[in-house]
Amino acid sequence: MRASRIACVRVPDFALAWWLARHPEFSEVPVVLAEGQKAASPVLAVNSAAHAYDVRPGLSVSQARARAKALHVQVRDPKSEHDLSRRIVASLQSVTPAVEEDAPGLWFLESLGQGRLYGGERRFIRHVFDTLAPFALPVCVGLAGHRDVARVAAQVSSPRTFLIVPTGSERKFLAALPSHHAAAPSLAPYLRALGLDTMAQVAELPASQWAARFGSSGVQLQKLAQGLEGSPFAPETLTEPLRQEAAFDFPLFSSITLVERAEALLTPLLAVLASRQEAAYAVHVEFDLENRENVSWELALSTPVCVTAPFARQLSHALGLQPPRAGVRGIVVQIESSGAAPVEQLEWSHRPERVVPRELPHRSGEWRTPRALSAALPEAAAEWHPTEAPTPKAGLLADAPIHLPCLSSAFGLRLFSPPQRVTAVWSNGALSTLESPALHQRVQAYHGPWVVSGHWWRQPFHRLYYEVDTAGPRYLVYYDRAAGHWYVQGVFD
Amino acid sequence: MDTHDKAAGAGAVRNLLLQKWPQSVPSFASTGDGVFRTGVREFNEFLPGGGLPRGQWVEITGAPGSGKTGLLFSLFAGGAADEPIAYLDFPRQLFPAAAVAAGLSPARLFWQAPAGPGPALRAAETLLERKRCRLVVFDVTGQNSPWPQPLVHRLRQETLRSGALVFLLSEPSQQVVPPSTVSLRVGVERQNACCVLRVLKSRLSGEGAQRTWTPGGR
Repeated sequence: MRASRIACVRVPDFALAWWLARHPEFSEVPVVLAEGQKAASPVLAVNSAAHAYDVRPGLSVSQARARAKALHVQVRDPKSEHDLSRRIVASLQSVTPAVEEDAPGLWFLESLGQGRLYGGERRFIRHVFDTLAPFALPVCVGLAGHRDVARVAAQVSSPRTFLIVPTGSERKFLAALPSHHAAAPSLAPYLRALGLDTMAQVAELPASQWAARFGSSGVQLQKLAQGLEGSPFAPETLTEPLRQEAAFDFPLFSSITLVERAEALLTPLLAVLASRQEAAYAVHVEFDLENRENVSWELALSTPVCVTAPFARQLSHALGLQPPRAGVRGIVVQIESSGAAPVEQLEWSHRPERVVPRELPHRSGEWRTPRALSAALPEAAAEWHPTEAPTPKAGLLADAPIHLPCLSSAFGLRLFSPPQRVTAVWSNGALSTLESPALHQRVQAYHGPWVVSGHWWRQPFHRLYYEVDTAGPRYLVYYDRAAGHWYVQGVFD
Repeated sequence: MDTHDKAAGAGAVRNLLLQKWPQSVPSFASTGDGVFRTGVREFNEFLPGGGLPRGQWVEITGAPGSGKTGLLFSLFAGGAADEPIAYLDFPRQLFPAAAVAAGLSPARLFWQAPAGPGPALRAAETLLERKRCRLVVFDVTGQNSPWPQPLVHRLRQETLRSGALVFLLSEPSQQVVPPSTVSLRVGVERQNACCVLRVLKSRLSGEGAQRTWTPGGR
C-alpha cells in the first residue's frame, strides 16, 4: 500500500467561530447559531458563555432563550459559510496542492513529502497555522497515516494546537480514546449501552458482529479502531477554467484571420497546461457576432495535445462548413478538458534551449568556450572548455539541444555564480518580498514552481524554480528543498 | 594656400588626430566591411550608415533587468554570423543559453573572466593585434574603479587600426572609461514588454534619438 500522511484541519463549530471572530465584542455574551429566528428553529452551535447557561445544540431557539435571557441568536448563512470554506481551501492549497474539503470546517491535506519541504511535520503544521492565522479561527490539526485517524487526532486536540500520530502507531493512539470520539453521534448511545467505552474494546469485537448490529457504520468504526484506512483521501484537482477572450474594434470576416486569432488565444492556455505537464483534450471556441448572436464549437481530440495545430485545423474545417453569418466582434477560447500530456509532446512544447554553463571557473585569464552537457540544472547544463584565444574558425560547441525544464525562456538571463541566498517572505499564501542584505524587492507576480530534482545517487538536488517579477528586474529564484533556503540564481536583463 | 595644400593640410591634421586621439575622428565608412550591421533594426536606425562603423567603442548601459544583455546578444545575432566574439566577463554572469535564445550561435563565444582591468585590456589588445577577432565585449557590470587610461588609449587606437568593435555593457552609474573614449552610448530602459533604446551620446549620429525595441523570447 502507498504510504501516506494526511493532516486534518478542523474548526469546531465553524460558522459560529467565524462569526465570533468577526464580532469579538460578543465573546462574553451568550450566542447561539440557529437555523432561523423562529421559536422552533433548532440551535446548531453555542459559545462558551451560552454553554454556561446550559444552552446546548439541539434545543429550540425559544428553549435556549428561556435558559439565557440575554441570548443573542445568530441565523446560519450557508452561502457565506461555503464562501469562507472555499477561501480557506485556496489558502491551504498554497501550503500543499492536495487538499480535500470534507465539510465547512473540516479539511484534509496531503502532507507526505511536505515535511521535507518545510523541515519536518511540526513545521509543516506551523505553516498551516500561519497560513490560516488571518482568519482568526480556533484551528485544530491532527496528522496521521490516514484520513480517519487524522480526523480523530484533530478532534481530540484543543483549539490552536495539533497532534501528530506517528506512522504505525494509529491503533495504539486510538486504543486509549473513548469510543464516542470516533463514533458517529447516532452510534454513541448504543456504544455506551453496550459498555464499549474505549476504542480498544471496539477493535476487539469481530467485524461480522459490527456488521450484523450496526451495518456499514459499525464496520467502519471497527476498522478505524484497528487503525485501518477507511474512507480514502480525495483531494480536489487544481484546475480553474482556462479561458481567454478578445474583442475587436472592427468585425472580422476572414476564416483565416479568425483561426489565427483563436490560435493566438489558445497558445498561452496550452502553455499553462504544459507547465503542469498536462495537455488539452477539448477546446470550446465561441464567436460573438455583430448581430448579437453567438456561435460556438467544441473541438475535441482523442489524444491530448500541447499544440494548437489540431484544434486550428478543426476550427478551420468547421468555419469552412458553416461560416459565421455576420462579422465577428469577439472570440472566447476555453479549454474544456485536459489530461496528462504525453512526454514527447512536452518535449516539443518547450522552447529548445541549447547551451548553458556549468559553475563558472574561477581561474582568471583563460579563454574558454561553452560545451553542452545533458543536465537539468542551469549551472550544470554546459561546461567551459579551455581553448586557445578566439580564432576566426570558432566552433567547439556541439549544438545538441538541451532541455531546461526550469526556465520559460533564457533570453537575457545573467546567471549569478554562486546564487545569492535570500529570504522569501510569503503573505496570504503568496510570495510577497525577496530580501537579503543586497536585495529588497517586492514581488509583483511570479511563475512556477518548476520542480527540478535528481542525482540522488551522487549529489542529490531538489529545487523549486520560480520566475519572479518585481518592481525592478525579473529574477530566477529557486527554493532548495534539501537546504531549506531560497536563492536568486539569475536576473533577466 | 591653394586647394591642394588645404586638402593636404586637413589630411595631415586628421592623421595626427588619428594617432593621438583616434576617438575624436569619426569614421565615415558606411558600406561593405566597414559597417557592422546589427541584428536589431531599431538600433541600426540610429546610425546613418545603417550599421555600426568599425573601429568604434559602443557602450550599452541600463539598470539590472533593463534588457541590455538581451540587446547585446541580439545585436550580434544578426550581424557577421560567423565572427567570433571575445567576451570579457567581469561579473562572471554570462549564461550561454541567453545568447542562444537571442539567436546567437554559442560557437562564436570565447569567454574569459579577467583578473582585473589591466589584464583584460591587454588580452583584448593582443587579440586585435593578432587579428584573432574583431568583436570584443567588456561586461563591466558592477565595476566602479576607473580603468588605467594609458591602456584604454592603446586599445582605443588598436580598435581603430584593426577595424574592430568594442562593446561595453554597463550600468548607468558606472564610468570605467572616460566618456570621450566611447563613440556611441545607448541607454536601455524596460517599459513593460518593450525596451526603449535612447542615444545618450553619439559621435556617429544625433543624440537624444530613441526607438522602442521588443526583445524576442520573452
